[in-house]
Amino acid sequence: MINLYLIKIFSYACCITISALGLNLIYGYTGLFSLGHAAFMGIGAYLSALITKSFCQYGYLIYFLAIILSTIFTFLISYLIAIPILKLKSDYLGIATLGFGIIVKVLLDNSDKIFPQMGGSRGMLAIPNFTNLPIAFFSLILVIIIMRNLIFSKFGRSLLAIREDENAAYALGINVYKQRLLSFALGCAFAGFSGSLYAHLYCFLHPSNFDFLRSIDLMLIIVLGGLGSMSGTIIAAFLWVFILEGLRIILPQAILDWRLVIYPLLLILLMLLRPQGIFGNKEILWLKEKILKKCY
Amino acid sequence: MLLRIENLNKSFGGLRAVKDFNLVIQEGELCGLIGPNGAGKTTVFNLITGFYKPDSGRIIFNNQDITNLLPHEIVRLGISRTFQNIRLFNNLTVFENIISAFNYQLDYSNISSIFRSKNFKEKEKAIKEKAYQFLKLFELEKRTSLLAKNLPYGEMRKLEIARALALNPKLLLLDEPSCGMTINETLALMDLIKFIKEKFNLTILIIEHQMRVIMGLCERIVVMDFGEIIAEGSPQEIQNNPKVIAAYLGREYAYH
Amino acid sequence: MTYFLQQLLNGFQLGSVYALISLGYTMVYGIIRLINFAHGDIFMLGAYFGFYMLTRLKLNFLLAILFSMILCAVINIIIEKLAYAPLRKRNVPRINLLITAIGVSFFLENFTSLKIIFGPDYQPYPRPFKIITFNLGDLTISSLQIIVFLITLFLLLLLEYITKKTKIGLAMRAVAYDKETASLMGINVDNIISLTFALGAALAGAGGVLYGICYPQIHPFMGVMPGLKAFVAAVLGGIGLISGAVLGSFIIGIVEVFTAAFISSTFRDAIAFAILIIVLLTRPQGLLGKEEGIKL
Repeated sequence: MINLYLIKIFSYACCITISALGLNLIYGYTGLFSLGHAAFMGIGAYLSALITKSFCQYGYLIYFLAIILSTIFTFLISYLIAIPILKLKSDYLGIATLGFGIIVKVLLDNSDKIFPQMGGSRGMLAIPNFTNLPIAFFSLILVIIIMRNLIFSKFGRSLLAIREDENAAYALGINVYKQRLLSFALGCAFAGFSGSLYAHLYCFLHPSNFDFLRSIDLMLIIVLGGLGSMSGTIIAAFLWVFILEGLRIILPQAILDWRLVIYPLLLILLMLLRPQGIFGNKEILWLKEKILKKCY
Repeated sequence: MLLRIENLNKSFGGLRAVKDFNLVIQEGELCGLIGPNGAGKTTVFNLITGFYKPDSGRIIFNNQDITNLLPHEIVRLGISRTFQNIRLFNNLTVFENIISAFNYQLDYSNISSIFRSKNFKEKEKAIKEKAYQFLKLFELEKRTSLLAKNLPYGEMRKLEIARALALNPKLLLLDEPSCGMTINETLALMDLIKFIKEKFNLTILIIEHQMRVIMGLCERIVVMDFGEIIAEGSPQEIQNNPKVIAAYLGREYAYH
Repeated sequence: MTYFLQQLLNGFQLGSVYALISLGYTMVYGIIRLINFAHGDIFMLGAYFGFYMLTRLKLNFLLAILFSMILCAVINIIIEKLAYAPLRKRNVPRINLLITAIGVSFFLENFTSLKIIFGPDYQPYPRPFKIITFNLGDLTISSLQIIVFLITLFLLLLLEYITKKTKIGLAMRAVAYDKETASLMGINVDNIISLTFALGAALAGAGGVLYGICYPQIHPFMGVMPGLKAFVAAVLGGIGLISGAVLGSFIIGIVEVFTAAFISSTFRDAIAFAILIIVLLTRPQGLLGKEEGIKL
């Protein structure tokens, strides 16, 4: 019994990590303050669930198709939204994305008026359980490979340049606006991908799974891991999931509610003692970049 | 004629920063732009490089109208610049700073990055080698893994110039490169500028305050005050021009 | 027509409460560029303090507001000294300060939810005075609306007086403009920052009590949405500006009430953010804000 439970948690951690890696690309590497990341998870989740529920007779085939389609759709829609929104400066971008997230949640709450199967604020039920541990894990590996290969290329370097100094980046021939659009859309596509995996893991969706509190959770994870560190994001995401769940198991029933009081205190303590996060901006193992030997 | 600026005008609210600015720069020139603080010199640079849009006037580079182009497009046409208050990528290493400049010359797609195609690997290796050789040229090869913000000031300036040169420009705009330098550093800078002009076949437009740099390097000098050009000519002509002395050189001259 | 005016009055009532919260956001942002996520929870604390003073201590209504304001101010100063000041001293990036604020917010919400503190359930709020209604033609005005408006007006004028006509207000404006230079002028920046936090909290505390009386259900998470909307209002009017916060709050309050009355109650949250995004895209500095240029 406990094994099944652990497997589910591990798969869930894989989903969260994929989404967090997307946000790390957007904020950690490119410096775009986005507080609406969970909304894009929701878009991917609900769209893929709609597709699989409508065509569930095709089994795994429709599942994979649904994931691909909803990821692409999330990419496109985030690209469109980014076009006007990325013209805003840092803090304002955060507020605008926060607002976008809330608008999405309200739309999801009222979704049953147009698509009754989406369930609105009652939630969407009976989504087929296609996501298992191997799929979740290999999806995570896939995302890590894609991200690593993109970061250690001219794309990744231009993002770092943009994050450091936008004007100097322009002066180096980098099309800052376009790179930001691409980075944002890609990060949100990862979120959509993770959402569609998640939908078929717990088989139940509710708009509150993707509200701004969830967006803040993702932001916490990437800051705790270390902004601009893939290793940091991965470790932090897994730690976050397992510690929150772990606290739920080990704390006796009487003080279970204290879990949610301890968690923010730990957060504040971590910010005081190690503000750069677990890894700072370093990477470990294979995630390290190969530099020319003589450049040491 | 490499650069032609016609009747350039730029105002910020009620302040006319640049007024009826006309300038022609021939290929291979080393031209100086001087004037008191607030004269509009950096504004002219920003207008040329596309960071500001002019209210009226035209900028023609290499027979192409670049007036309304975006900064990164202008860079690709062959104009690069340094900034008055060094704009290095402080939290990136020296190597990362230089290699970002080579980015736009790389022409593989993002897809080939993801799949690590042969094309990608070859181009990346080539560019990293090129970047390293470039650093060697500027004697910065021992500093590759140092964060840019931890460099000594003189080397920061050198890195910024190196980075601007990595863009392979035809026209280089230097904005007060000797700012904050000692006399020795300034002399080394002057040698560096002469060296890069030769080696890279450059045309250079330089904003400067230190007279030794201007008089020592420039063949032609343009003087600005309150947004307008008040004098133009050789160093000798400028030194004797009463308008220039009145506006600017007057006090400075006492030190030399 | 009467219905329209009636809703306009309701909007003013809501806007007044938002204004009291919104000022705290705008003043803190203006002085240390922090989006104080925990501010909405100070508002919640104010409501609860008022609740206990009105029900247990059977205090006079105005005294309850006054003591609530004082308690909230003190608590906010303690939070500032414990959680934010140490981080500010170490020059950490702003995101860490934001995460700490989020931590404080989570802590306040979950700590007060514990059964031994306030408990997670909705508490009904007492009406400490009899509400009389007047009729102006077809229009019904309640004495509650008048009292809320008058108290808000009084507090706003008080704040205006403090900031514009006292030496301490001058110090506050100086620190908001340029911290370093202000300290060179002999101003104790830390104390001014604490004072700003205290003033903002006091206003939010008053807002909490008034909110409780107007919409008589309080619970530990009641500060989340009003806090967010008050923040949106501050940005809408021009963040950092007191007049901006007030203008924005009344706009948001009126729009929200109108949406609920003329369109649908379920969209009331989304509408505020939609307006914000539109304003940010056309006038990013807010309605009353000044444009900021960068020197290249």
